[in-house]
Amino acid sequence: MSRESIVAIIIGFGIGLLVALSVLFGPSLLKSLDFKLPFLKDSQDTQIRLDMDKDVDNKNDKVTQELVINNPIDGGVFVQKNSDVLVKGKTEPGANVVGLSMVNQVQSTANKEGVFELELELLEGKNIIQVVSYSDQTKTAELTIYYAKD
Amino acid sequence: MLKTNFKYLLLTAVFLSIFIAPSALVWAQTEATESSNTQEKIDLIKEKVASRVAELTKAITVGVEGSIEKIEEGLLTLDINGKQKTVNTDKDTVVSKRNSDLSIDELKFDDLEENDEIVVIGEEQIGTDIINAKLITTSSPVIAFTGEVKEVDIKKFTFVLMEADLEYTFDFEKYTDSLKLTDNNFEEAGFTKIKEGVKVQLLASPQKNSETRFTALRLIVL
Repeated sequence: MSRESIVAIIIGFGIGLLVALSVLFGPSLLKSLDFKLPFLKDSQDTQIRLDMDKDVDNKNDKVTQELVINNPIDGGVFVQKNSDVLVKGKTEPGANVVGLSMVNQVQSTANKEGVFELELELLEGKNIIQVVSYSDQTKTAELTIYYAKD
Repeated sequence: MLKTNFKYLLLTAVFLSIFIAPSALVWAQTEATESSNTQEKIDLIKEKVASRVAELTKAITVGVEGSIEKIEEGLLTLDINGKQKTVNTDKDTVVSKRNSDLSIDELKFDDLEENDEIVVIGEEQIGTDIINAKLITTSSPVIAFTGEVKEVDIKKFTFVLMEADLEYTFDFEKYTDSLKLTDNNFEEAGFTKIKEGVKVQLLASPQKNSETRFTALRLIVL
């Protein structure tokens, strides 16, 4: 075998091996280096997602200025020994908040973050709880809670 | 001649080595990956089956309301907006009646009748539509209102409330629990505290054959 033939075989195997390695490990290598090809579609999608996130944030900002009940969830079911439920929520800072259940009523003042808590009593069965926040505007929220004594 | 054939053979070998070597490597890798993927799929299916079995045996606490469609021995078929659920009772199930003044009377299972509107609280086995009832109570709807008093009729003990530009008339009954909020304290307050222009928040039950007339159950005058 001539010297040229041996060189050709070695080069052939070398190139073949490089192609094989690049096919096998190229994608994962690019991924690990966090190398992103500048595809227009992907960047557009990312921008849309960012815009959507902004919208969600804006909506949340608006919601926090309204009356929001964080706990308990509407339609929640309580099977417990005592009939109390702690209603937690957020409204205008300093607002006068009045909670009315089918058993009792509680008044509270929202703190500087607008957070308030009301401890209300439940009747066995279906309960309607009304929470009203009085400040410059009157804001109302209602909850349905199911309660059974354990 | 032999030398020329050998060159052709050599070039073919070189050519094939360029294309076959990577293909062989890729094929080998793919086979290994597929084998690994198959095992992963089997594991995933096993996990899903185990998860589903766990779900089916899991019970959640539910509160539902509907009308009684059928009553059998210790069993109720409840119609909840067109969907049927079976309500199973036992000796520990509490059956009660909530009166229009929000007082509660105990009932027996036999006191329940078809078409009664009831609330059931209990545990439902997921995926079975069977509720093991802890509490069954008959109930009438209660609605919350808040608004400004527009008119008061002291002879009829009624008042008209404006809420979202709509007018509602409320009957003030002997059992109406009426309070006034003064300096962060609630004080008992009679009908006379309800005056034109005051803000009121209340819970009330609807009266039959009217969409705008209610009975005041609990109210706060602000």
